[in-house]
Amino acid sequence: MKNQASASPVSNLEYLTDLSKGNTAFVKEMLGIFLEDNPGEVKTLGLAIEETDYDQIRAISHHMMSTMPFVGLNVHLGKELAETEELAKTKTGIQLIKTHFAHIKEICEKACEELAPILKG
Amino acid sequence: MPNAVSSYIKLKIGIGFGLGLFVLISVQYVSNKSIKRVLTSQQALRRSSELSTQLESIKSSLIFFESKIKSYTLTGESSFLDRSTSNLRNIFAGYDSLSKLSPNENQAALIKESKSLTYQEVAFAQQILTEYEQDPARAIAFIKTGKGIELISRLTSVLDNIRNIEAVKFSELIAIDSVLTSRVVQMDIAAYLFAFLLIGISILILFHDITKREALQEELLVIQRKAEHASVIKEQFMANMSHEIRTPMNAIIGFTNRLNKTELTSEQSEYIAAVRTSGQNLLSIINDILDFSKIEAGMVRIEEIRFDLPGLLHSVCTMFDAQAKERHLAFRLQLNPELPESVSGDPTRLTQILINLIGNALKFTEQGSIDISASVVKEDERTVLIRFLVKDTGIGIPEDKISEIFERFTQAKSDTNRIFGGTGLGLSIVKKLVELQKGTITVKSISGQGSEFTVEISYRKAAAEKVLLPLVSSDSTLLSRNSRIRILVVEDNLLNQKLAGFILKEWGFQFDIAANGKIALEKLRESNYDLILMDLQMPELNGYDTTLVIRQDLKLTIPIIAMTAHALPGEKEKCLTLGMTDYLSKPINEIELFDLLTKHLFTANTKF
Repeated sequence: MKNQASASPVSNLEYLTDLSKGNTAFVKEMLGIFLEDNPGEVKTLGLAIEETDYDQIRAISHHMMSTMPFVGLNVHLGKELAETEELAKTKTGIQLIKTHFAHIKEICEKACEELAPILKG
Repeated sequence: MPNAVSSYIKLKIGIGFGLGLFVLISVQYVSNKSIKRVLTSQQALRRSSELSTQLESIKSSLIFFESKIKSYTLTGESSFLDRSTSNLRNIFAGYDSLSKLSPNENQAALIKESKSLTYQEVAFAQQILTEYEQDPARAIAFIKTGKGIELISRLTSVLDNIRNIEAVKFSELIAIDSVLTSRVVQMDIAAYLFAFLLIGISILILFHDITKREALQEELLVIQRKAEHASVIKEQFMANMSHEIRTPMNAIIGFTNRLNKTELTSEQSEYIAAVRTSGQNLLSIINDILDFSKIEAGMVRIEEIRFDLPGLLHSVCTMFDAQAKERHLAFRLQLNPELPESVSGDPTRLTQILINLIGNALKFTEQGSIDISASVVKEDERTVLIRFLVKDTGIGIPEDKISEIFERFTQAKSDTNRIFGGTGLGLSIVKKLVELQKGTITVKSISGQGSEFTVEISYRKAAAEKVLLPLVSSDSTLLSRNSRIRILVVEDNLLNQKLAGFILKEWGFQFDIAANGKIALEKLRESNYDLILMDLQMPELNGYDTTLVIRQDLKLTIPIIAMTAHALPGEKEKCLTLGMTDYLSKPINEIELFDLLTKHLFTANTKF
């Protein structure tokens, strides 16, 4: 499943395109915000995990979970982010959170790489 | 326990009623008996009075008779004898009546004596009349002998004696009657007092029992809540523990694979293969337990995303294709032409269900075929009910096991686990997953001939969204109506703010954005809004607490629609309990949002 994801694009703008009925300006505006916020969020999540700061992990994973559908990443990361949030809520499972984070980071970085040219184009 | 208490109360009520009935019947019986005795006593009184009257009548008739005979003898006037015969008849009829009025022995003897004296008086009168016919002077001389007066005097005395005896009896009867009457009154009073006492005691006992029962119910509720809480903690613990176990297991299998790639002796290879197989089996069991625990703990969320249904079915079947070929089984997928190309729902959970059912079919089928099909059962404008069939020609399920097959840790035969492996959790997980999607699962099977599992799940039509949306935005009447409405979007995520704003603007609504609950409250204090879209997790003040302030402090009844990406079971109920009006899961689905806005802004009860 992960190998498949790395071979083909992970991002998908179908949701935003459908919702805006092909309004490119709106899609680009949303994309701009995502590309500006997401790397920072991933970095902060990584730091929170390093420090085992469950409250921070919970807040960031929740925040990220609601932005994933805009670029189609909920298909790849919805489950991991939801589990991360749930585990952080119960303040357990840091090992699994770390495993999930590796995947989250990989997918987000790949998505940003894919989306950056679209914003410029 | 409550049943035992209930039976105990019923028994008490039964005993109370039985006792009451017994007391009532007893009182009635005693009262009837006393009344009968009073009536008998009153009859005796009437008889006594009649006897006295009869005695008086006989006495006066006798005096009258004697006086008439004397008057005739002295005057020779025959008219004095006119009624003497009827007078005598009355006297003897009087004696007959006296005899019938139940006199006692003494009275009967005196009546007999009186009657005898009366006969003597009559004989004396007849003798006077005979003498008078021969010589009136002799008749007068005969009267003067005084025999007549003596007879009358004796008669009067006897009759008085009878009356005196009766008078004594009468006084006794009066006394008895008075005693009986007062006893009846006493009995009545006693019965009333006893009845009131019984009612009072019954009410006290019932109140005592009800209070005890209420206390017991309260205690049971507390125990139930504790048990539910303990169950949730247990399931969460199980889920977390399973996570912790799965991670090192993955490491064990991974390193075993790496080790297998190094140079090994044949004996070492054999051991590595055994470790790898055991590890995989253990991981599969752990995964089952993990899934089940997560479902039981309410940690499984159902997604609502658009997916390619035929594509998903083909992908799942491709996974098993090689395995089926290897085992020389016919493996077929049949898709109904009416099947929609894309639907909105949870593809992950559908995949999990199908993998489990097809995996089982392969596991339990030695020869023959496995058929998978999908068809449309029914559809309306928005939804489509899909039926998935997984049919095999495997070992089947014995009839007596079919009803238990979806229960946890249940397998068709006692040796299934030994021969085929597995935890017996697979089908119970499938059932839970189907139910979480509000679907149904049934099974038909004949032992030795095969099984057929039918799953029905309703999905939202994905195509409908594209058709419906332009209708919403292009209608100028709707836009004009919407422009009078002001919506407050409370959301901290910039992307979600932009998205909600884009949709609301397109539909012509006025709107403001508040980045957290605190700002939302300030805006609500300053301006009027018609509806609030409220995110739940926000910094400063979250959606739950903001709602509480809106309802309790600001006393606003404005519709509040919760929005969250955190669609755990029970979340919606929590929102509604806290005073929110409705619930919308993120990412925002336009149709759902439009339906909710229509429902809460344009129903008959609202101002628009």
